[in-house]
Amino acid sequence: MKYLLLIGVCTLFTLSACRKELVLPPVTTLRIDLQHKVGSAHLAFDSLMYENKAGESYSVTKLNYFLSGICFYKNSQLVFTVDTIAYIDARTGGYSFRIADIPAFTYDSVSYFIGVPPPYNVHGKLASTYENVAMEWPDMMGGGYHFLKLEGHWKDTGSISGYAIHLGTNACLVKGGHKISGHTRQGVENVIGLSMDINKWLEVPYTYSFKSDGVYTMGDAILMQRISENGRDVIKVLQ
Amino acid sequence: MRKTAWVICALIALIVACRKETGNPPANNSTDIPVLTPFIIRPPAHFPKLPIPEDNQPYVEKIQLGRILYYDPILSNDGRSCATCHVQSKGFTIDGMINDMPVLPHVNLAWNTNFMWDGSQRGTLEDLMLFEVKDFFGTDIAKVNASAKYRELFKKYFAVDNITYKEVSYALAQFVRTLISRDTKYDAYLQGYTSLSYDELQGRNIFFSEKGDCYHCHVNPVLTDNLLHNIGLDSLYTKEMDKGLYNVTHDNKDLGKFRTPNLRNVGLRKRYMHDGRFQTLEEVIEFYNSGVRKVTNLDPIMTKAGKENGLQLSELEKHQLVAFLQTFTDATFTSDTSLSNPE
Repeated sequence: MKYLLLIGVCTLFTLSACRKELVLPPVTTLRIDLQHKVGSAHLAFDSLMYENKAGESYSVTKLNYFLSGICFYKNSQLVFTVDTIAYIDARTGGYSFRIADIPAFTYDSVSYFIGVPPPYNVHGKLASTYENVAMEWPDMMGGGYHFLKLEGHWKDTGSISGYAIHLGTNACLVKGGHKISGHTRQGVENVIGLSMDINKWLEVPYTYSFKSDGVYTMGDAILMQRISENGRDVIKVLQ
Repeated sequence: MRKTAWVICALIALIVACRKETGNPPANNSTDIPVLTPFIIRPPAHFPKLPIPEDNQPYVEKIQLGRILYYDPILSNDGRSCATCHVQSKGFTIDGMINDMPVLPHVNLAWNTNFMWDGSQRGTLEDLMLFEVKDFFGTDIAKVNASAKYRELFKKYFAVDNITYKEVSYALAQFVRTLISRDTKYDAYLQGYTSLSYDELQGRNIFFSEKGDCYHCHVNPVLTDNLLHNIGLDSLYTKEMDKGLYNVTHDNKDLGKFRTPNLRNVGLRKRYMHDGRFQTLEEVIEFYNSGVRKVTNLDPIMTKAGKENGLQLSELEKHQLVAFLQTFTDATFTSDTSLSNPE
């Protein structure tokens, strides 16, 4: 009988020590949705129907990139970081990811990277998936990963040719951000929409022309820098 | 004291009763639960994670059954087995062609989702094997069911009394998933076990730089991107077979697109491209060097400024690139007895 009593007391002690905190902070779920547009229209692949600011018709045949380092701020103070390096293949349609059990927060600005942050931009640092491996940037060109592969065709006075805008190397990490206010609510799935406008890669601040600038950026530090700077405004945060 | 012992026994019994099932997959039309030995396929650490469907996890016995089937002409109606056109010593392909096309090798297929030169088959290895059995071979499943050996093996390992195309394709997929080339000189180099010669290193520099720009499609270390591209082989698609993916989608943008072949054991092959038009690696490189046709849907990656007239490699550079391609030969893969005919 003594033993049973002892076991009972020990069990109760263990259970009480392990139980979860009863007073929980408000938690919620955040879903981030991504869409890809050219101007106001949803991106349609393989169609030579878009026109860049330089007046060149172009199509998109591939759009693969990493989105990472999404941070929310309030009064310039970091309130929440999305700890995800998301690989996005726009051909597969919309993309969204959920983050569960996060604290509810209020924000007045958002920042993000298009690419892979320097600590992770090292060969083999990302999960060894086929997609990540296919985004590797050759070690003899600096190593790490492609941040962006934007490819397609364009029309050059009658003839059709290809272009390949590839970004990589830490110096060309795209750092974007916006002032936008909002808050996540407890008990509902909070959705934040992000919309990438493909035209903006070729637009602001540098008007990129396939004819005069070139159709192939990989390994060209000047062209990659221009595209990286244009990339700062390619994503709009939707409420 | 006795009561304490009873309490402990009861707790142990409860834990045992509640533990998760980790054993074998459920039987579909038999009450017998097969006793199988789990098998862990271990690709090298520098390879991508191997995708394996939940419902066809690898087991030693199922892999062995797949291997027996792979070498057995029972699957066809004309005396051929899978191994007739996928010869191990040739890197699981053959020197010749079938229907005027070189046979794509069965190597590292487990990572693929697009199959056949024109991408006409998609999905998992199980899907591909189902196609091979049902459509390519037109396997007479009654013949398989009539075999006492297979009735017994499928009963033991798949717990079925009636063998269907599904079990045959699943068994084949179990074996084909183990056809992994991992032991090339290049793999050893990547893992720091060996060094490359000067020419091989120079060839690697060409392969993985903008000079050769091979790496965008022949992704390191699997050596294919599993996608389809138009590389400018033809400007007119007079033969049906030259139309590639177009024959599947009937979309003009897919004209001339073919699957990126895996370069493992490329030095052993005797035919290159979808129609085997080239017979040496030197001819292939010369094509990229000076023979690419400027078609409208040429892959964008091949339109780099300054290379409008090809890669412009010197004779020495071409030789060095071939030297590097030869480091993809895997003598272990072509001689491993665990992959050979079990008979």
